[in-house]
Amino acid sequence: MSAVDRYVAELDAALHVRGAVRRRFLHECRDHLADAAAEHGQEHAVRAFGRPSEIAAAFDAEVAARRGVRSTFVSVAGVPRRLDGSAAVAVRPPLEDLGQLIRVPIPSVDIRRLLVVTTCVAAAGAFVRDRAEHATLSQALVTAGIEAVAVVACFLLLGRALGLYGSLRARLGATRGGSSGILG
Amino acid sequence: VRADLVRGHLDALLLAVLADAPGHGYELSRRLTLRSGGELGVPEGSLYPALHRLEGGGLVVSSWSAGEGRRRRIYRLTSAGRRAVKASRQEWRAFSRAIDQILGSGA
Repeated sequence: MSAVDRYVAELDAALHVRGAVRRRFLHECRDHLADAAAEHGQEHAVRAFGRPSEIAAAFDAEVAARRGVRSTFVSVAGVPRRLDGSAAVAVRPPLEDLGQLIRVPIPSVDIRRLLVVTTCVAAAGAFVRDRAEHATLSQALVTAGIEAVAVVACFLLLGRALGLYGSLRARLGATRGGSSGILG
Repeated sequence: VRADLVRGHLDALLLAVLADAPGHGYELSRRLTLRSGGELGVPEGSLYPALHRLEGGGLVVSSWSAGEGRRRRIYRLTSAGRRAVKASRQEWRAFSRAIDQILGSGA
């Protein structure tokens, strides 16, 4: 086994990330090492590339960071879609998978309750942060209010982006129609 | 130059050498070595996590290209990447001027 093959095998063993992104990374590293070995020799090529454990850890961290951002977005986008009540679930919230994995029922949350809780937590957080930074009571209350408005605006924008209001309106219309039929 | 000093500037350095022309990882590593006079002691393998980060941030795009009997991943700047190069050059000038005023004035 050549020094480059040995190096790539060590890199492969040290990597945690799976799938296409792993294959592509290893392919690129092998290419790089082959080019460097042709120019400077195998020993120099693997030495200049860095320790396999450090390179693998750096790559794993990058992929995890990207996936973390994406999974947060998917969670946020998935929840209102599901709570809309429609059968069309665009993305399955990760909590469902977690619930299946650990076999503990995780209750679904009503979107209005989710909005109230999120707004309260954000406003309280802003208030505590401001007070910790020695803001006056009125300043901290204003900041908390701004935070609450921002959270509600985010929910509204997200709902609009996901087409949530169209189906909500349709459901409300159906309810009103039903009520007037009974009460009228 | 110590690797930890360079690490914080690696993204900007990669974008700057990509501004010359698109290239694959090894080519970019050679450009860094040539243009720095071999002074930057960055492990060559650390370019790939950085390229992945830049691609995720929309500053570069990449595609496979067949040539010299081998498939290679070629990286190129996006328009956001070109703007980032311009911004990082301005930022670097201000930063190096400020550091030089402190460290460069000693005996």
